[in-house]
Amino acid sequence: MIVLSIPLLTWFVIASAMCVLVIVRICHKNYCHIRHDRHLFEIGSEREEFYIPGDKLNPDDEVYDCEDDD
Amino acid sequence: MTRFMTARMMTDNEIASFNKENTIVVFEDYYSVKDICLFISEYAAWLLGAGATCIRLERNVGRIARAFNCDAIMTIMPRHIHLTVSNLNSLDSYTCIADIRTATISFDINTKLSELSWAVADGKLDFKGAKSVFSDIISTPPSDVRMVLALASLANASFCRLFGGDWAAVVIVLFATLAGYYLKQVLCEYKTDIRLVFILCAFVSSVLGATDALFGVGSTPEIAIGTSVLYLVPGIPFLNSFSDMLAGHYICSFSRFMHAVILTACLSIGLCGGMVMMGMGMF
Repeated sequence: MIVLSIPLLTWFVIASAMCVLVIVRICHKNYCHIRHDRHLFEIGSEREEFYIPGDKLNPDDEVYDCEDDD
Repeated sequence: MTRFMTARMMTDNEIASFNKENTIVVFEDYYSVKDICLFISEYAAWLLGAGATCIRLERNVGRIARAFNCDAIMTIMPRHIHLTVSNLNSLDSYTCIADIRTATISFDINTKLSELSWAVADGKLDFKGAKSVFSDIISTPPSDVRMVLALASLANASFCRLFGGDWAAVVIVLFATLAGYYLKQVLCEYKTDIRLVFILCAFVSSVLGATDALFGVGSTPEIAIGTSVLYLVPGIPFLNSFSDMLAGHYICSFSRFMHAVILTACLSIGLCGGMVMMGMGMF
């Protein structure tokens, strides 16, 4: 059984702190990289989810009304 | 009247004579003693900041000044350079004081700046060209931090082996240096005070370097903990201090020596703290 003495405790604290620092910085760097590149998951707009070929591509256009064709 | 002139240095007296004649002078490339002085002071500030010794600074600056038909005299202070440039053909002179660039020591910039001084002295570069090359040199990107981290760790591990450490100690020193040097890079990135950086890095490296003694992995724990902080020893400031002392630059030599001593004291504080916390005897 390992007794947690001050040296052992110090060693574990320092070693884990360094591991956490490395992991946090790697994750942060990757997150920043992904943010400027491509998202693995993202929340899309309703229009993107329900797009049907033939819909207007520019969302700023006026709402398409079928009655106008008549 | 409009006159076009080729690249040359004009004295202030010549400019005054042109003004008396009420002529409009358009120069294609005009540079005065003031321009040369400002350029050389900037050059000297960067060269000293890159880790050059005073003797190298004097030689390079003198070389460039002579190439522009000038004489340069300077006083090198710990944080400033006081430079006077005078034209050898006239009484024109200009004096300026420049702040030393407190960048990290870079042998790359150091070498390139020395090459620039030789290019100017050999007539390969005119004033405009020298300024352009100088701008390129000072925008040199720093070395790859990951490469430096890996090489510094390997070098420190090699020191451990050279001092008689066993392979377990070598591996422990490698990881202790990796951790400590990585911490140093992170803290320097956040512009932390260099003395605090030295204390923290020495503490972390010595604690991790004591793995050998703590878990009984190898047979040379004292070598592992002793060599785990060697990467922090300020070797360049100590060497430059000695070089400046031999060259007679006592003020600069003393300031560099004090800087190195302070860093060594911070290293010792961190190392002693680590050894105390790990329950290792110091004497």
